[in-house]
Amino acid sequence: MTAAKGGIVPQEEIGNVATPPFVRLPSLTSAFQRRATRASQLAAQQKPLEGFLLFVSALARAQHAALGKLPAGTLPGQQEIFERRKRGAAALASDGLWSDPTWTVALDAILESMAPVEKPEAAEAARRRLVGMAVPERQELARRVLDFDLSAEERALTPYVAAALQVHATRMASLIDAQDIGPEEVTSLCPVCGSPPVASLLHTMGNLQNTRFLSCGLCGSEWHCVRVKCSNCASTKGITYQVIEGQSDAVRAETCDECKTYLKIISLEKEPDAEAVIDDLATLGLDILVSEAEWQRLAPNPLLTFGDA
Amino acid sequence: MGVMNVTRRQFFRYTGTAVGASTLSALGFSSDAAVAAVRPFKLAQAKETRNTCPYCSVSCGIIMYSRANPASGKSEIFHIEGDADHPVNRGTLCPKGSALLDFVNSKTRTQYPQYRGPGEKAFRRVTWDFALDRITKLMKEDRDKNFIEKNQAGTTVNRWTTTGFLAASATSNETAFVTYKMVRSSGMVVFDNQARV
Repeated sequence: MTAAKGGIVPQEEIGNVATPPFVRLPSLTSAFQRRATRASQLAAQQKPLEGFLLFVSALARAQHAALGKLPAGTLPGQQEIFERRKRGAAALASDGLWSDPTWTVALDAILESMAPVEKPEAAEAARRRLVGMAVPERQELARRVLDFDLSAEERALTPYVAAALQVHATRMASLIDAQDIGPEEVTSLCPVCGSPPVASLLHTMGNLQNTRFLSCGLCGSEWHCVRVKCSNCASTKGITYQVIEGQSDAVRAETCDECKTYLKIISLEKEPDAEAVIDDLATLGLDILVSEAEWQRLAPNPLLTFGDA
Repeated sequence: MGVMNVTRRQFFRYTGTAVGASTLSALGFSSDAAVAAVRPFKLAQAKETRNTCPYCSVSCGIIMYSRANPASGKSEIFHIEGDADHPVNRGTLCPKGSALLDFVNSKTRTQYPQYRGPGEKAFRRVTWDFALDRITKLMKEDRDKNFIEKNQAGTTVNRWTTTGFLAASATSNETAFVTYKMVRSSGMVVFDNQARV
């Protein structure tokens, strides 16, 4: 430090406010491995969800393995992303995700990896049904998985299809340039792939400290969103943080009284190993209590969907 | 507000019944235990509120955490931190700002006006009306006595130098404007701001 020698602190050493980036893209090497580790870690703590979390952990390992089997793909160029973002649309076209046959390569890889995994009969039946499914039927299913528009008998197929779409979308997202995703508009949907957030994360490290990012349930990108503000309707009034009484407040439900929706907010200070997709699944109990009170979720976790029940 | 709306979907309720008919049970996992596990519990609420640090003119953004006291039911602040989204301080606070929680909950915090008349031994609690009337009356008396309309050369100066005014720092532009106009139009020249304390 120059100041210690009695001089004036140079301009570049002072006034550097820690401005968080607008978007954080997923890391291809660790995204699914972190989920696999976290899911088995939480399976040991969450007895009622143990079986499901172990299944999800195996699924995440299969997702990681599938990454290496994907064929070379095509990314939108800088100009194309710029044009899309200018219109308020996501950087990756939403129809590109289900219509691109790349994801079905991921699906086949996942279905193969999941074959020897111990699971209930219904889960195995769903896996076998997908193995024999033709591409057009798979694409139609994928389109509806992305829209959360599924019939009751398709619910067992969702985790496999969603997992394959996550692999495809995560790879695309990790390869584009974060600089191209301009902060044109902060939206309730992912600026990279257009999917709804699965949860939000309160970060601790470096220039992210105490800032909140919404975490995409599909491509794993995170985008900055001001705290104490509804991520759905942007209201700053009537925001409340709810936890299950007497339990950890590392994951809280941020409820909005204006639009009656909620999104979970996960503190990485209180739970440094937390991962948005997995910790959301593991705190299903909070969803039940909050939903039975009066708030609704903008979208379910892609790995745990609901029909029109 | 520039927020994309989700129009192609309905919202979702994760009620116990819905969880019973979700992917969880469709895959063959039991959802009953997960639903039963939360039945004995209820929700606890907390609030986070944005505000401005009252100490100085830098006006750092803060977030105040509050929740209801289980005994009294009254809302109580239990944590204050710098607002990372605020462009001025980006989450940082100086030592004074960091100690705001103790300032808010301080037992010696001024909450109401007190008065000790001439010759009286102790302070007694008075109403805000009493305090404001008394201050106004004393200001008027002092101004009537010491106001300087013209200096020795006979030039109009309209000075009131025997009373000063200390204004708050964390005020809005509008409050600052009105304060300035009020103080200066009275002729008061001793005028400062809490921002420098």
